[in-house]
Amino acid sequence: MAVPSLGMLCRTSNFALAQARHFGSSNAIGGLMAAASPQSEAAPRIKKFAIYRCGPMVLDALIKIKNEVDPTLTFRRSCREGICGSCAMNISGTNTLACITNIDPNLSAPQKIYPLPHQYVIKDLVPDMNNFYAQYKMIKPWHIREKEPEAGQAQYLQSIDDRAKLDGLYECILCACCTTSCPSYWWNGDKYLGPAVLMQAYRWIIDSRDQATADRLNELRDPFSVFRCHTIMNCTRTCPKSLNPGKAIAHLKMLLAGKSRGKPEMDGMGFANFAKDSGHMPDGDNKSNTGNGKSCGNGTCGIIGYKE
Amino acid sequence: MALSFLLRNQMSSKGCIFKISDLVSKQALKTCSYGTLHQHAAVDKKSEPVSLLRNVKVSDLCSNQIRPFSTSNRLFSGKDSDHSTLWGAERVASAALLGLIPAMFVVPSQTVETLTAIITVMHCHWGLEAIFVDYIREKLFGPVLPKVSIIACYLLSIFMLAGLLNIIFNDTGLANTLRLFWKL
Repeated sequence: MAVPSLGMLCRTSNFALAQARHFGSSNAIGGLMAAASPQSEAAPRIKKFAIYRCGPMVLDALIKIKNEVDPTLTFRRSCREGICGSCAMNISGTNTLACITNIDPNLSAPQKIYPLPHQYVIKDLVPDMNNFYAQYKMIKPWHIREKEPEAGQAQYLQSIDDRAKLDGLYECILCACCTTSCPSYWWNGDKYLGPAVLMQAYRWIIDSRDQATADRLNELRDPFSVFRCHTIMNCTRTCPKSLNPGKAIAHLKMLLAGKSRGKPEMDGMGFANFAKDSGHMPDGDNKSNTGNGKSCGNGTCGIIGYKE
Repeated sequence: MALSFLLRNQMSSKGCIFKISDLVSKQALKTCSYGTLHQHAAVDKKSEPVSLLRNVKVSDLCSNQIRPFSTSNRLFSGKDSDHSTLWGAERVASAALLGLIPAMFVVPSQTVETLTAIITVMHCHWGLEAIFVDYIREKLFGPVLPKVSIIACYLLSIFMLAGLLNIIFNDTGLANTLRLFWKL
């Protein structure tokens, strides 16, 4: 990487809601704009940075800037491999993760970096995620069972097919790229839950081990929580994990309109007391590990309460 | 004031017990020495919050307690209304229009035209209403204008339906009018 150029928006006011309108002038090769900010300032501004020799990703550039040019530049990062979702930001007009986005090889203009759009900004590239997390909490992202078993005593059973229904949903890292790309969320973010949270709502509703389907759906029936989604599909387009929140919301709407979730192929508990006794999974004649979840209903694999 | 907040909290939120007890324990740490804290711990659990709440200042109650029970605007956004039936109706209406509009030209009759007119108006009304709800928000326009816009939306739809019915029953009919447009 020769001389990449990055542009970054700097905002420090907690109340800055609007998109910044002034972009950095894009003349010099190697001009790199980013944020260095005093305690607080009313209007957002942009700072340019030029760097030379750097790793391939935008996050590498940001870290290099922070290390070598401007230590006040503020951004979130953790895993640097696209699995933690910390470094979500708006890069060249797309919400994505800085750690898995290549620096633009076109050096004739600075690459522009903004915080996630339409979020309150704490500093530089750090948006306030509190609303997002509160909304996530609102959908109760955990198993709700009619009867809670004692912790550590047994496992909830799930067939392989039922488990497969969660693929494409559970991988979400809650980076909020989709949610902050959604115009409906921009306009009604206080009441509309947004694609990321709704996809997780769907993920918990269709989980065969969850038993609170009706309650969960009833929580979402109002005009705002789900139905501000107008299938704009920015969410699916921008998702850095290539998931499809738009499709999940469509399914969620169908469930709300009365479609059945379908019965779990397996329910009940498995391996009662086993984990406690031996600390590992059973082997030998246990058919539940052989790849066919349906075949272990004959009582050979330590399952209790299995229904055909 | 503080009491009413607490009572409201108790009524509305299942988690209130924890919040109160959380507050109480914080407050106990603030106001009591270790000795008195120990005494409080010895008191029967039911009476503990009451005895400790006497030490709680109103300002502390406000700063600690108001936020949890005003959790989100979502809770006050017509939570009870069920939008899913309307969503279903919208899909049915859109699908019906796909058949009705061609049918109106193929077999022109006042019944089909009236049905088309009604469903078209419903379809447009729901779309327009969604736009008004999305864009004319209380946050930006104050409490009055959003309601006015919804009323205006209804008036517009009524006007549109009346106009279409007028064309169907007192004029050349919907299909013929559209054909006339085509001739232009």
